[in-house]
Amino acid sequence: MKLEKIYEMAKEYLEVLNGEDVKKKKVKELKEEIEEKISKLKKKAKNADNDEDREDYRKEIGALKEILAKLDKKD
Amino acid sequence: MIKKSLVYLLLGGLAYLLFVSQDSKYIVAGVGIFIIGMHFMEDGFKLFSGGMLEKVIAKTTDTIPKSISLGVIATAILQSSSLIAIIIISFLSAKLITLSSAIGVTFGSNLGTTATAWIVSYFGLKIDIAAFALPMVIFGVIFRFFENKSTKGMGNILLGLGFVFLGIGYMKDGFEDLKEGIDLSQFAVEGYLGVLIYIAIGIIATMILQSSSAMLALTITALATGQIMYLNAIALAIGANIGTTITAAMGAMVSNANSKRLAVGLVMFNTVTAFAVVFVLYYFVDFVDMMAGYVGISPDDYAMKLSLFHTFFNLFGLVIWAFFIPRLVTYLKTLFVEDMETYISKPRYLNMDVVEVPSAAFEATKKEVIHLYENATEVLSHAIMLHRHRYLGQHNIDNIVRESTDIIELDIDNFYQTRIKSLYSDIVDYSTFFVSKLTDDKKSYIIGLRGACRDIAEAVKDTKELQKNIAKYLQSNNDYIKEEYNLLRISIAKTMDVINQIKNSHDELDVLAKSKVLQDYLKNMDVITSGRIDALIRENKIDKKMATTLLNDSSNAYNVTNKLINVAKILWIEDVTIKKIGEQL
Repeated sequence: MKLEKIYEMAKEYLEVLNGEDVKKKKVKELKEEIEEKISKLKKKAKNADNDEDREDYRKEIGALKEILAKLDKKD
Repeated sequence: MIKKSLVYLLLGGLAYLLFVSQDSKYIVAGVGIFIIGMHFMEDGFKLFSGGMLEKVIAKTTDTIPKSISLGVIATAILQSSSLIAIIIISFLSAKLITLSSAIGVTFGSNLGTTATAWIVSYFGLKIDIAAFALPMVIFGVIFRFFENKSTKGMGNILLGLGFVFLGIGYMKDGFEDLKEGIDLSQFAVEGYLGVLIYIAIGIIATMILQSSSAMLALTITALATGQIMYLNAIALAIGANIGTTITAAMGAMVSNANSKRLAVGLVMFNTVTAFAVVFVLYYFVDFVDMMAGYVGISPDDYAMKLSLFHTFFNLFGLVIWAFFIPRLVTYLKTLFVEDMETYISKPRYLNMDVVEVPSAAFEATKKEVIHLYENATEVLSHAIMLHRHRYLGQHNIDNIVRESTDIIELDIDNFYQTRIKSLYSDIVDYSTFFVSKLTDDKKSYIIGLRGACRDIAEAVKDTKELQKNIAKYLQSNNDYIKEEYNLLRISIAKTMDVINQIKNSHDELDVLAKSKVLQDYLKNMDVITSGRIDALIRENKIDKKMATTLLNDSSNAYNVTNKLINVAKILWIEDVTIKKIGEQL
């Protein structure tokens, strides 16, 4: 068995043992994450090979912006 | 409604019986323990599959004479034909034995059970099988802790046998006072009427006692003390033989088609043999009297003569039936068609050993719901006439859908029953064992998972009508309606493709963003919101009937895709904050 596989299994096992609570990210933390994601997607859209891919990235950015707006309201 | 009322009535009656009678508590508990034991034994034999036990059974039951011999010997040793019948039903369920062999064993076991009558009539005592129960339960539990599959299986078998013995013991304890209270002499009736009455009494008493051996012991005692006539005792013994098949029927009720066939075969064996013997009863009794003289039984030793009768009765049945076993098997196969059990999708992750560690059981449940979703994608893909490997992960889904015009035959009802419903029930059932031990947040996640299961099940059901019409309009000469149905297929295929990407992304924000993009796409594709339906009707491109069918199917497809998106959000978004935002989108 590969070392990475053993590591993954050990990690999963520890997560199961310690994972008593579900994840609960803070709004601020989430907003930062989304903004970072949007900027990455913008770069990808700029370097896209075709219009179709560019359009897909644009739609995803739009969805993330909508999520961000919801989070702003929550804040 | 009537069935429901009857169940309540029976439960009410049972509660009253338990309240007023101390003995009945033991009898009813005995039946319960007996059935639990049967389940353990079945699990135990399944664990043995592929191992030594299979070879031993194969060697001892590969021909009908061998099967019959096994039945005779094993029953004579174990002292219970009912127990052998239950073991054989477990063997059949685990597919360790063929129906012909199983029938051979149970027919042989009928002869083997006469050993009890000989012991009772000769030694006046019977081995107390209940005395073995507790040691069996103790060793069974210890063996179950072992890692080795066969040892674990042995543990289950011992535990099961222990419970079965314990159950029979409880039933017998409960009936002990009843047995003393029955005065059989008050029912003595001469002639054929007496024979029929006593056969009926034998059947009913054995059904209640759940043991023909116990009934025979009772009969022999009554006969030895002069409470009943010899002919009436013979009728009781015949009745006991028929009544004991009810035990096998009880086992078969919770098992598969093969087990039902075996139970019916056993009922036929005992009933037909009984009819044949009753028909020539007086000649048969004379024959037994004559044979008793040959083996040295004195003419007034009715108890021994009854044992001899019982042996010849079963031997007679065996001789008649042994030649018809293959024909009987053919008939029984037409009587009960193989049920879907074999094809039922079994849970992959719901391990009961893990239930004590709630966080691990939580993960197992989540993985099982994903398994359920995978099953659903198979049927949904086939319903839209696509194979998953053709379109998942491909860029040109639109073209793939339009090019795939071959009709895929699919019975959605059957698929739903075998691959969705059973797994759905298992997941719901499993989660009840640990959900109360979880934190509130995780509890609500599990409740969400149950909702996801329901959505998956409904999505599959919703595709039934859709599948029928896709098959119809894919072959239509009207290109407009064909294209509309292709668009519905594309919507569903793209939904499953996006969910496939979501599944592998490991980024919950990505799940949310992609779901949102997909929902917007589906809204734009809708035949009503896009205004396409108006144009198609106005320009007479499709007729009114096509239009209403399309509207209904469009609504079905919309429901299916929405449910799938909902399932994806539940499954792959655990973060409470992200989940709440997702609900608002």
